[in-house]
Amino acid sequence: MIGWHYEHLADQTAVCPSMLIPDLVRTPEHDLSVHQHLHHRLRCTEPLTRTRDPVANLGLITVGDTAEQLRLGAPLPAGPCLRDHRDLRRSLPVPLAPRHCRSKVHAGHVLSFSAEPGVGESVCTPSWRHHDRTTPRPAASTAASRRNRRAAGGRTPHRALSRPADHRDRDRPGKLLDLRIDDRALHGAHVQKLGLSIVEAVRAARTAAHASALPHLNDLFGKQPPPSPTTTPADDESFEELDFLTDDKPEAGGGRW
Amino acid sequence: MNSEERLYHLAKEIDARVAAVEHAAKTGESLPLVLDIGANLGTVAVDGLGGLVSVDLDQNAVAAQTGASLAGHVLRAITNAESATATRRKNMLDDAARETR
Repeated sequence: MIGWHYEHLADQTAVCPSMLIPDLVRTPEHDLSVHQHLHHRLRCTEPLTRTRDPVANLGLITVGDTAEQLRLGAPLPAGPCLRDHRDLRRSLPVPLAPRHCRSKVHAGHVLSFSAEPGVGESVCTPSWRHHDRTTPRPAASTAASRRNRRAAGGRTPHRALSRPADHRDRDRPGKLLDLRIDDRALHGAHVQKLGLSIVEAVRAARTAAHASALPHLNDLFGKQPPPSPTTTPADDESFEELDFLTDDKPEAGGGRW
Repeated sequence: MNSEERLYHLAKEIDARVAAVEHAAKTGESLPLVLDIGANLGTVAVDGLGGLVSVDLDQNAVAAQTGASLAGHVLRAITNAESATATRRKNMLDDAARETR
């Protein structure tokens, strides 16, 4: 699988790492695949599971199938399995503050939060791999954790934190992460249209990224989608279609006449 | 020069600066950019906003590549071209703002 990273949009999105799952767009005719980075995407591919970290004795939430993990410094509340980022946010014992976020988090990073409100901290453990759930997890008080905590402490949130979904985001959703070309595409008649196929695949990936990201992003920021241009409503009759001869009133007691 | 004249010249200066920056922004967004793909594999072209326009591959050079290596070269060229357009736009805006000072 490809490497991936993401940029935080807001502190609450820091706990939705399933949105980091890169989209895969295949062009069936051209043996190409393009991985598009969807940093606005909020989609859980599986119900979130909750376990307990045996080392730090902390609650542990595993998100998505490319599991980033959120460790909570308090027992997780009982309840049904978390299914989306809103459930996750509701379950947090402490509110997330911008300083809990890192501007960039790579695979294997862990966000942890202490039990006291407002004392959350961001811990980076780059040695964790997102599919390796058997590796013993280091305690949060290691030297590396302290160093990373200090490094993350003074970091300001990414500029995109307060940026709404403007037209530039729509034009350029995400970052192109990976491009794969099958060996068979280099031989025969395929090679003549390989360049065009790459362009088509990249555009398709961006279009797909935009289509999937924008509604979620608008939802996240509480922004209403732009009204779609609709046809003339039925009650706006054109002048030619108005019936001036019959005496039918639209509604009894309408009060307009 | 009385105060009205000073204000007039100041407004003219501001207008000139705004016009120069707007012109630079339009130019930066409309000029395409062509970059070579590594290993003489061809060129990639992006529009002024970094959108991919075309990938022209040298078929003879491509024949010596594997799919993975070609994909790596092309991907690098695309991302380089995208970032190069952003840098160019920024430089053009900075130059326009600086020249009118």
